[in-house]
Amino acid sequence: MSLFHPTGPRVGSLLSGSIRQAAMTVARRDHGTPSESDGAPASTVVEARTSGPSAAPSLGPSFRSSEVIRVEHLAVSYRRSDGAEVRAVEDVSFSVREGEFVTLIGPSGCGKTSLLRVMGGLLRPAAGQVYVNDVLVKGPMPDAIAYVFQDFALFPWRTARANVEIALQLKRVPRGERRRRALDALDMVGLAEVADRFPRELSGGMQQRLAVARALVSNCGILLLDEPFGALDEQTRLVLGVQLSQLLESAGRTIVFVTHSLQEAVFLSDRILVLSHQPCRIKKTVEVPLPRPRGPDQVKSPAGQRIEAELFQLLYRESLV
Amino acid sequence: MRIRPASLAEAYVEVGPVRRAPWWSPAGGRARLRGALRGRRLRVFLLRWATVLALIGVYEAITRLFFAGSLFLPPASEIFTRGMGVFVEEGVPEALQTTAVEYGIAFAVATLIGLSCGAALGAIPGARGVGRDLLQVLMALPQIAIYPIIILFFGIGPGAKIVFGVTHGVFPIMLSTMSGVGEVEETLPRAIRAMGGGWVAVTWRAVLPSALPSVLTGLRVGAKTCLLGVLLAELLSSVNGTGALVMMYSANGRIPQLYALTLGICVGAFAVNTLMTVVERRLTRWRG
Ligand SMILES: Nc1ncnc2c1ncn2[C@@H]1O[C@H](COP(=O)(O)OP(=O)(O)OP(=O)(O)O)[C@@H](O)[C@H]1O
Ligand SMILES: [Mg+2]
Repeated sequence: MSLFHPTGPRVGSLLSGSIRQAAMTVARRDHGTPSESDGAPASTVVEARTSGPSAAPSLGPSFRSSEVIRVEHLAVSYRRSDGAEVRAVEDVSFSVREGEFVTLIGPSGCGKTSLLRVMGGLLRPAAGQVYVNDVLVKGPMPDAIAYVFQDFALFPWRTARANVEIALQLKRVPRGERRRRALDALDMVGLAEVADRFPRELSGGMQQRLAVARALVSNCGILLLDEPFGALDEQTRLVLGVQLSQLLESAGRTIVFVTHSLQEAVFLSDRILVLSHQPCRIKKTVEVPLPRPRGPDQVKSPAGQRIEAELFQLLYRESLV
Repeated sequence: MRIRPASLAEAYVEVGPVRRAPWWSPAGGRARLRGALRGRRLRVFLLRWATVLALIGVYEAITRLFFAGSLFLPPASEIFTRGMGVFVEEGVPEALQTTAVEYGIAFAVATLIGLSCGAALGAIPGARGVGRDLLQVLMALPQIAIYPIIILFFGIGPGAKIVFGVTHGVFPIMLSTMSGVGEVEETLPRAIRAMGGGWVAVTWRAVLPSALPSVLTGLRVGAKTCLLGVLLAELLSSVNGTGALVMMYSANGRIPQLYALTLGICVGAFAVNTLMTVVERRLTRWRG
């Protein structure tokens, strides 16, 4: 029995099946603010949500619209090696609702990773603050937040399974349970067969999936994913992204996601924050009111294409500066 | 009853990972032996020992042909027949034991100092550059120069020998520990912190394993130089220990015994080095 999708059927390997198959099985994600144009009445959304055994009946709309992450006037500076101070992030404010999938997108080096690190309590902001579940973030919150690093951060001396297990080990989960959950998480990203291999024996994409498995295993409500599928080809990353959002859907997890792929952003997100370069500010917030489950049809639909084109315009102009 | 596990992960949980039998178990030992006899390693092994035997043969031939009757260059056969008797002569086992114990103490002290100071220097960003320069200067100096001063402080005895051994062994260990700890990337400690680990977990699960290969290399080099220090001290001015014995046999003209003893020292050093190499390889197998 899998820990990650207690309500849904077993998904199996994240790599099995085509995009369409994967997309067809995506459960309905709660939009919070469903758009009138997407053809799905808001009541259906609520129904779908509350009829599932995972959702407690007492949780009303007010619960769903509650803000899990609140970023207020955040600024990040770095001190360069010559002593000068560089502003990487300047006055960024936004919030993320429970179960929402928010994507950060912006030119390379604009400060996405910095922003994510502050949200994860790994970096002290120069100004402003972050609240997670209404608690001021002062340091890492391992019970609430799981993190996938851009550079994977795998332990080369640990096997794939041990790399996943360390997340539980640091939380003092007993050995047997640790092992079982780690294997489940590896199975989920299609790495069960290579559980006993060392990271150097895995391909770049496999290493990335291993990092995702480590974030999944600790069952945190919030996931901060820094380009988790960057090393994968476009098809695989869409399949993985869809299955990931499906897995997290059932648990009502909240996701902040960084990507460079516009298509991926449109495919997965409820909301996309387009960031500007140096210093990083929110240039525009783009809602993605496409209905779910999403498949290639939705993304290639006029609405999806329009959003992608808008993102491209915004980023293209940003890159010219 | 379930016949087929529902998923690979479940099958894995039921059966457990496929593990080779350990090398010390009868089955594992047999498997290793079978593999060794078949594989490339056997050829390497045979070649190595064939080379050693060939060199001994060449030495034997040269001494018999060109240095027959020479006092200072006994043939190999003579070293093995007459010389090896030295190891049961009175006082010799004790001397070897003295050296071994003093070497053990010296290496332990050098390891302790080298690891702790090296880790401290490596962990403090500012201290790293200074520490490296200083250590490199210290390692470049001929340490034999300070031996008279050491004797001044510790007298002729085990104290001076151990201290001299420590001065030889400690710097390679310190240097490599320092660079090993200093070169740990920020990535893994950060990941540990994100997953809820404190500084103990960061040190134990990220910094030390990252530094381990470098530390082990330092220990291997340190083990060698430390032995050098102890033997040097014994050769220079000691009244007991293997080095003193070597000097005595040399002075008394008991040449085959001298050669046998020297050979014994080499075998001992070789054994230490082999042990360190095996430990190193075993602990860093993940590097492939
Ligand atoms: N440790 C650091 N010291 C100094 N400057 C830094 C440091 N880390 C990041 N920066 C600077 O901060 C800016 C933002 O970096 P960040 O890693 O957040 O970018 P990013 O948006 O994640 O880029 P990418 O898409 O390439 O991953 C960059 O200009 C970078 O040069
Ligand atoms: Mg980044």
